[in-house]
Amino acid sequence: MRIYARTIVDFLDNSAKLYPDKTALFFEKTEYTYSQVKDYSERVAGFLSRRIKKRDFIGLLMSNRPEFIISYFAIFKAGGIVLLLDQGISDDNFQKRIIETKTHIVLSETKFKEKLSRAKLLKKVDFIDIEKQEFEVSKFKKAALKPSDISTIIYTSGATSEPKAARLRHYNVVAATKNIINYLEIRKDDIDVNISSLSHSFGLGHVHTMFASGGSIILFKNSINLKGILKTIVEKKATTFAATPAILRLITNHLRTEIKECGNYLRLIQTNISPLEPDLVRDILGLLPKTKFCYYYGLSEASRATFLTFNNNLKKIKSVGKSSPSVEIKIVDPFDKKLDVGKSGEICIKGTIVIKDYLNNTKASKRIKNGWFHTGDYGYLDKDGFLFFQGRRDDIINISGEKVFPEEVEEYIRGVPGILDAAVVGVPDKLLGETITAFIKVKNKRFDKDLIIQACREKLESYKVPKSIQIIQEIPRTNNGKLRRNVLRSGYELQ
Amino acid sequence: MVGGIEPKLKKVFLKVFPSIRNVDFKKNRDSFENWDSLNHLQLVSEIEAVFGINLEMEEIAGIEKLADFVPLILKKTNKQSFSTNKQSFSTNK
Repeated sequence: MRIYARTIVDFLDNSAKLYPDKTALFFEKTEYTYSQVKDYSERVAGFLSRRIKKRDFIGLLMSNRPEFIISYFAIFKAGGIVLLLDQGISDDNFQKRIIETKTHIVLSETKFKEKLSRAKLLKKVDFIDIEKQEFEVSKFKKAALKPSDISTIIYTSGATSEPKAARLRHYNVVAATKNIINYLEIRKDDIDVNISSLSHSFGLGHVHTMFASGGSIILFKNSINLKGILKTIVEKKATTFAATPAILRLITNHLRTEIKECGNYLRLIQTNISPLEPDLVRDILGLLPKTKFCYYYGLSEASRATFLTFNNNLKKIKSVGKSSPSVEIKIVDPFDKKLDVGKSGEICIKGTIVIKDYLNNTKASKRIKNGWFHTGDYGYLDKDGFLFFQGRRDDIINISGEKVFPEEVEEYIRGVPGILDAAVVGVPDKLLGETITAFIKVKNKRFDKDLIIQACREKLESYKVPKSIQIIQEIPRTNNGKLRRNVLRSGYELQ
Repeated sequence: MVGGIEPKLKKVFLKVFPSIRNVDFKKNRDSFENWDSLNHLQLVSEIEAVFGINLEMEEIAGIEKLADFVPLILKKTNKQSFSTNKQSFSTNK
């Protein structure tokens, strides 16, 4: 399918022109055609254009709902840059991100108003509550956007300990979207079921793909009622579905009959976020023999860098696929020297999908050298060009797709009175993929572990709070003081 | 029994949602700012651990508000104590 988009706005506008009366979006009992989404987005854009200058950041803090998508396109039409804010963001991080980006408008909903107050941002930010604000039809001049303009700021876990603001350009998103459409052969008659958070590139990517190809989206608020979601796939004859490995595990464990029935309609299932265990892949292929099961590897900084279709690549089941069209991948050693086939090193990605840089972070931006993005992930390429992912360089913990830096949690734990030293690792969890275990060295053996939970709860997102705390004699460190997390992890695995 | 469950449930809820100031058992989950899929699973996992119960997939999906946990906990904990009694009865036998 040929896509003529130059910017993200074209995804919507082209489809509204070609298929004005087609349903773009199903949400609960409501349907929105492409022309309605365009019309609503222009109302919001008109409202915004009277309040912002071109290239201003506008925060988008919303749960999965049609207004998210409408506001997203509206921000571009008004000439703004989208600052994606996850609905589970901690008050501290919310405050930091608003201040760092100098964002003065946040498009949101009533339930988040209190967060603004807790983050002491009430006087700094204009909180536009989409549930209360009326958006009238008004004349406004649609912003003239260039493909090289910055479209979005996504705070990414990346490769160092501080979350960084990745600056995506319109053409980065367009290139990634074209790759998905071409590889997965997305068509205008596709109906996609989207249960992923729209404030993450995984969920938002499916909006881009469907809108660019003129398909339809069935949007869910969340993935809590999986049985109901699978029932909808059958009722609406949905053709594509994307879910994290954690969700796929739940489905194969508890909803086998239901997912089998979905196999009559689904032509494609996609997943990513964390590597899949081969047994899960084989199980899904067995349950859905007619459905294409695909995986992709990518980061916010280089979205959809590889693709893999498991059905015809069973021998490569442990790989994350081959590079996307127009994307190059190489493996380098610590001196940035390219390594041969089969040798492990840092994964580097080059192509139009690679971000411009990180906002206000020259040091991190140096990770992009001569167009090559140094991912911080480790892996190797085999002789057929398949990439094998081996791990995160910085021991990032992956809780059902949410990335946690151990350093961030450790910092709070070490601040608790009575703690001498602390280390945090991710341990396998059947439901969430990983959960956090904290190891602590304490002054007094009768130390109350709840103090740690309380300290973390006050400052961190709830998924970052350790699930288990173990008191140990000594935190293992190298001679120069570096933490040896692998020792803690292997100790945990032996238990 | 319900009186004993609710304070414990409130404590677990605040562990997962520390920023919530007013714990309303009857408020729909969509009205809470971060009661998303991940936090829903975290909450279920914590409740299962604290009350020593296992919730079924459909029960997990059917929880719309905090109050919905109460009858489930009651049902599960009663069942468990019944089977424990049964076991001790047969041992005595």
